[in-house]
Amino acid sequence: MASIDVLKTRDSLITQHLCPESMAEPLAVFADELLDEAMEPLARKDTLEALIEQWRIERAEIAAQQAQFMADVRKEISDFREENNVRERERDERERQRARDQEERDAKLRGWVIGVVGLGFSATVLVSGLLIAFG
Amino acid sequence: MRRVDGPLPERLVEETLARFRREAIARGWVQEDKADQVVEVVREQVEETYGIDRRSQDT
Repeated sequence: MASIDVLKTRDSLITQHLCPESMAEPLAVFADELLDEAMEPLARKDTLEALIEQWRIERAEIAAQQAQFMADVRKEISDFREENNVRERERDERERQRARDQEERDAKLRGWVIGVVGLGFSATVLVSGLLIAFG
Repeated sequence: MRRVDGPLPERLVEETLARFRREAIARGWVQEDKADQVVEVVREQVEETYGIDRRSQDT
């Protein structure tokens, strides 16, 4: 991997007559190799810093996803509780309605029974009276 | 080009250029009287490509 522009360095060496043309490229390549070697720790440091930054970004994204997930779970629990409460209220209302209906039916039945018994008693009294009067 | 962010520490550049000068002369690739100019060409390339941080002492 090149650290500097080897061709440009070679051309500069030739233009300024600093070495024979045949030596310009080896010199430029040699300088590039030495710089590349010297920069290796810096490149590793930059790579490591980039990885750390990437890790921080990913950690923040994961934390945001976790927070969103927890918010969704809380919302679902809240919705479920609300639906459950509604269902319980409806069930209670149905039970109360059933009890009222049953009470109405019982009251009607009691009315009929009292009516029939009263009518029977009245008829008995009437018949007894007639038997006493004319018997 | 190698991906290194920001300017290179001056000490790293100077030590590398000194090594380059020394070894290039030793190999007979550069005449001693022109070595400083050759080093200057390489330094200009480094400066142009990365910049040199003259405040930093890190290597």
